[in-house]
Amino acid sequence: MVKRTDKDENKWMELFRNGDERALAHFFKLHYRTLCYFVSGIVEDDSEAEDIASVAFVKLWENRSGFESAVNVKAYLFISCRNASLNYLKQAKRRSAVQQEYMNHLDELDPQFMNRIIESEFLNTLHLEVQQLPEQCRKVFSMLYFEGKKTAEIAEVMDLSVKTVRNYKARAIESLHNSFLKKHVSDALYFAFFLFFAKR
Amino acid sequence: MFEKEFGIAELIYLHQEGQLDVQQREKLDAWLSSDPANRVLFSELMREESLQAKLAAFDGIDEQSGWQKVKRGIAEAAPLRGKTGGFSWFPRVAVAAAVLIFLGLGLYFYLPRNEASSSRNSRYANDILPGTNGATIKMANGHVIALNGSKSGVLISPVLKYADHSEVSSERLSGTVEAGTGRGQTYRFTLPDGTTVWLNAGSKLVFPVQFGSHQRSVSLTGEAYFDVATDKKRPFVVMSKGQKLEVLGTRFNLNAYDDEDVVTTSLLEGSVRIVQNSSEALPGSYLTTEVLLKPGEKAVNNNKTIRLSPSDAEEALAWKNGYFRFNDEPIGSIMRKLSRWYDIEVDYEGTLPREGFNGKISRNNNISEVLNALERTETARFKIEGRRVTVMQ
Repeated sequence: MVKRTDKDENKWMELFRNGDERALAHFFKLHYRTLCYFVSGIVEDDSEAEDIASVAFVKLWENRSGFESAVNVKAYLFISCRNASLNYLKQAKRRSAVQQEYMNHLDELDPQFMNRIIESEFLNTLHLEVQQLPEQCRKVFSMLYFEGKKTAEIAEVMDLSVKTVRNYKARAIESLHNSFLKKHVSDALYFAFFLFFAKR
Repeated sequence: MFEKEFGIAELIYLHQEGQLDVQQREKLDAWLSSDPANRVLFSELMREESLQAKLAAFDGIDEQSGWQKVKRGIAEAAPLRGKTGGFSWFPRVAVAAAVLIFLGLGLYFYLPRNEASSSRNSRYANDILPGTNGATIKMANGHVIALNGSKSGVLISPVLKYADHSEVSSERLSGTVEAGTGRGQTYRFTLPDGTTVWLNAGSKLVFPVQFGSHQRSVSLTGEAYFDVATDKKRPFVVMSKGQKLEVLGTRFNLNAYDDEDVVTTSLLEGSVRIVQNSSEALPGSYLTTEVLLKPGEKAVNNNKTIRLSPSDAEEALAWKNGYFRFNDEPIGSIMRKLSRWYDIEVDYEGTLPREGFNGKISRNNNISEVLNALERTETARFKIEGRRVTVMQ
């Protein structure tokens, strides 16, 4: 997992407080997806989640001079999103059973929200790993893992030889740390070979 | 503030790697034993099937779209300093006739939806809700699938999936497919080659589930914004009323409603060739016009000629970004846009204002907000009865 150095963090915070939009973009890249996923599980509407998460960044920007550290920024974003999601639930005409559960725990330390945060953070870590793969490698992995495409299909869509696609698969297995991600890709590899040998 | 939660997420990750030390294992165990809900979450993240589904949803989130909203949010929060990308709050000086301004109250998409609006207009018997996310897919065999409005979009392939990779239907698509939005609907489709298309209300896009090897061909009625995936070997062709449009990879908005007199193509990036097409004609028996559009230009095709002019990207994309943007626009055109989005019938009484309206307002508000804003120009008044809106002087 990538750990940011303190020097980096200070540099970004200064740029941020001084109104440099690149700093906002930096925090956006770091947290948007996690926040969007977090909210999406509560409001159960992707567009609404997008709106809420985006507004959180706008509010963050408007209050930029008051933030001391990146940790503060992250906390603010989550709190802002949690509150906005709760407001949305309060105003919703119909609520699902899950949403009603969120509403029921308002007085306690919101264990449901906390678990949703844990889930979002965890997924973000895995997602980051995939993002760090070299581009072609990542595309191959994506098609394997998310779309369930077979090697031959991938080769056709990406206009590559089957051999090249297998190389990318192998490289993905090497580069990825997470055992689940690796296992999924290698299972597919194994299956493809099995078919190949079975046909002869 | 959430250090504990971020910490648990990291512990779960390390557990999957088999890299927990004794203290970490104890912490994780403590969390697991403190609440059954924690154990449920943990087992979901440890099960390959559920993990994959969640990761797919996580992956499907559109960062670009979010960033556009943030950028717009910050720009609008800044004090108005005059022109921003062609948009002006101030009256146009040159025009002799009275220029009508309406200042939208700035009720943009991201404000809470039911913020109380100004005084209740007595001429409105009821209010009308704005359009929503939604669409249908009609398959080659005639079956129609209704798409879930809470998903951000759909990925077209033989197995139809939502943008978060969840399944839409177990039926496989083949041959030609019709993606359609009714009045009051809008949706996003990703075609098999990676091209993304946003459909505005009352629109229809027809295309094959598998594109051919020489060309990627679709046909459009209504309005759509295209973000065409680059494919140098296969030009992307859009057939619409009165023209054929060809691109390699680019972003443009195409407005080709049947009830509009002209077809307008606004190009944002890349390059587009438009060939006029007087449909039933035999090739060569009519004079056909062909133009090459450059970024920042728009082509207006009235079926006789195609005229090029500078394009206001903000205006062309307003609908996709969640608002109405009127640039010297006549009331008739405004009412047609409202009728598609709010699904209303429009009647006219008395003489109508002939000048164009200028301004901008969110399209996620009830129709009363928009009509009130228009009324503030004091050139028209509106009445709402059920789904019928009457424009009066």
